[in-house]
Amino acid sequence: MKPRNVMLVAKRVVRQLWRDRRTLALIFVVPTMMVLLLGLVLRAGEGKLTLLVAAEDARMEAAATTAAGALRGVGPADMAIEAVELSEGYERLRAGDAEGMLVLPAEGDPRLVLEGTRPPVTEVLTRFAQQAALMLRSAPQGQLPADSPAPELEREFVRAGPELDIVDGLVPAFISFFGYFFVFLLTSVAFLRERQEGTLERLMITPIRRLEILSGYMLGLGFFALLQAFVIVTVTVVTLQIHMFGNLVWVFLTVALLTLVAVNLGILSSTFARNEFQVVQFIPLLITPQALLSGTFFPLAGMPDWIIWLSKIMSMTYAVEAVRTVMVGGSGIDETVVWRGMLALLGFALLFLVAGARTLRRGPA
Amino acid sequence: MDAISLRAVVKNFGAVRGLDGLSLAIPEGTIYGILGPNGAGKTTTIRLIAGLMEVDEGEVRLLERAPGSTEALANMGYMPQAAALYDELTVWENVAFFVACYGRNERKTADAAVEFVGLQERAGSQVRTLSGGVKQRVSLACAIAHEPKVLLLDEPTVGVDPALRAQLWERFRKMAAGKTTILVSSHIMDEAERCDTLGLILRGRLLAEGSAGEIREQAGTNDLEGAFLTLVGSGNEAA
Repeated sequence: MKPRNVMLVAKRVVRQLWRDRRTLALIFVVPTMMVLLLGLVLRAGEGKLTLLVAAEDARMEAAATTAAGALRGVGPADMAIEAVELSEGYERLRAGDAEGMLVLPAEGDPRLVLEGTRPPVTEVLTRFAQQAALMLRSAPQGQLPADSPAPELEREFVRAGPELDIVDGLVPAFISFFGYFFVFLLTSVAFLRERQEGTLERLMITPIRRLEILSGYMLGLGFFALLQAFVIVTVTVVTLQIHMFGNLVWVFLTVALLTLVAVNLGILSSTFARNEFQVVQFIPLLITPQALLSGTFFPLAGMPDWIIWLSKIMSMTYAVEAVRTVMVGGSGIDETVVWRGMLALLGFALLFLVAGARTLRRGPA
Repeated sequence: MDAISLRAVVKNFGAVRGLDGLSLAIPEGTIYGILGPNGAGKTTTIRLIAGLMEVDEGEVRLLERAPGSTEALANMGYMPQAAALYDELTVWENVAFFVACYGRNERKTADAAVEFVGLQERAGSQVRTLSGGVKQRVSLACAIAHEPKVLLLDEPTVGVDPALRAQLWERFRKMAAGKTTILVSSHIMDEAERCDTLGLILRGRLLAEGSAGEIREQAGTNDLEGAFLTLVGSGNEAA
């Protein structure tokens, strides 16, 4: 393989793509926008919740007021807790003005009445109501201290810290996924176009070898992939104020390796597509399973063994694991998950490169 | 020495026989024209010689080498039917890129090729802004820039105006005088008249071969178009 020939093809790919401004926008603006939007949406959470406290028996109204005061002290900051009369409580729940109501009976544990249309809210309120019930059980009514502050729990973190939220955990995966997805799309369409327009065939009857053509492509598109990784990582980390515990260099390197996998997979899959429509059909086949089964959106831990086994043959799994370990876990390349992940990605990139070169045959137009 | 030779070549496309025992021998420095109706096997013949397909039976040699071998590729220029250019690159950049693929000096050689097709003034234009005919000329420049010993042209002057076509043929003639072998497929009879030898192909077989004059004589007509129609008609009747 002659480096001159590889560079020749790579430079041509870069020059061509550089002049295609719409495609450039697709690979830089769209994935960054997607990660930002998802981050913002997730961070928005469920909003402020209202839990009402009412007594079954109107004569016990004072107990409800006391209980509400006590629960206010231990409840989450974004939960308003108010004492109301039972009938008014039902009205407010029906009107969508509150999400739940804790009803205190004359004897025994309280019951929870829920508005019920938002399952995640139902879950949050149920969990809190269970705690509240336990608390009320241990302190008989009338003995509850009003507005008692929640106990200060001392927390020690082995890794990361208390400042992390759900977005910090998900953004490393999003960065990997969207980078991969858009580079795959770009490469498969670009290469398909070369096949359809005959330029690939024209190139293949020059003395340049197949592996040189593919390596040139990998290098040229890899250049944009690296730039893309830089833009997505920088913009999301700064805008979403993602907490970075590790060294950003390892994040770039992992994402760059992952996009090389995407370039080579894109070239390989373009062999099996006759038009752009068929390329799009590869997305549910090759990309969606990776999004679902690589720990990008859903944790792998609770999945059946065969899915965990399947996730091991998906390049995305290694990238998500490595990037998350660096960004959230604060690890470096000395961490097994990180260096092993990078090696696995390099392996995938080479495997697809060789497979792509084998399928790149001269044949009927 | 034959620059191109085909010996009893058979090429099938599924159940359809594209070439049916075709044999050709094209000496060095010849301009050889392949004529034939649509689907006769002209493009298949050119693609087999270029090494873009493999034969099912028989043998193809290009400069006494197997098509697709490094030596054959280095000495061959191919202009496909479709322009096959990079739209976002300029005329000059397209030519320079393909020249560089042959390890040649980009600047000098590309300039000469752009001049050959008369596009010096459009050298800096992006290909996507050009008309079909101009694209064909750029495509031709890409095929000849590395000064190949064998030039394969698949309908090279479709969409090119008659004045420029005449100019291009003058250049082809000069190239042939310099020992370049040119194989050209065409529908244009004026173009066929300019070839040294013509091969008329029908259903993948060689129906007639000779100079334009010999073909006319064989068909008993005064013009080449009439000869073509007569020979194809009798070939169809025989089948």
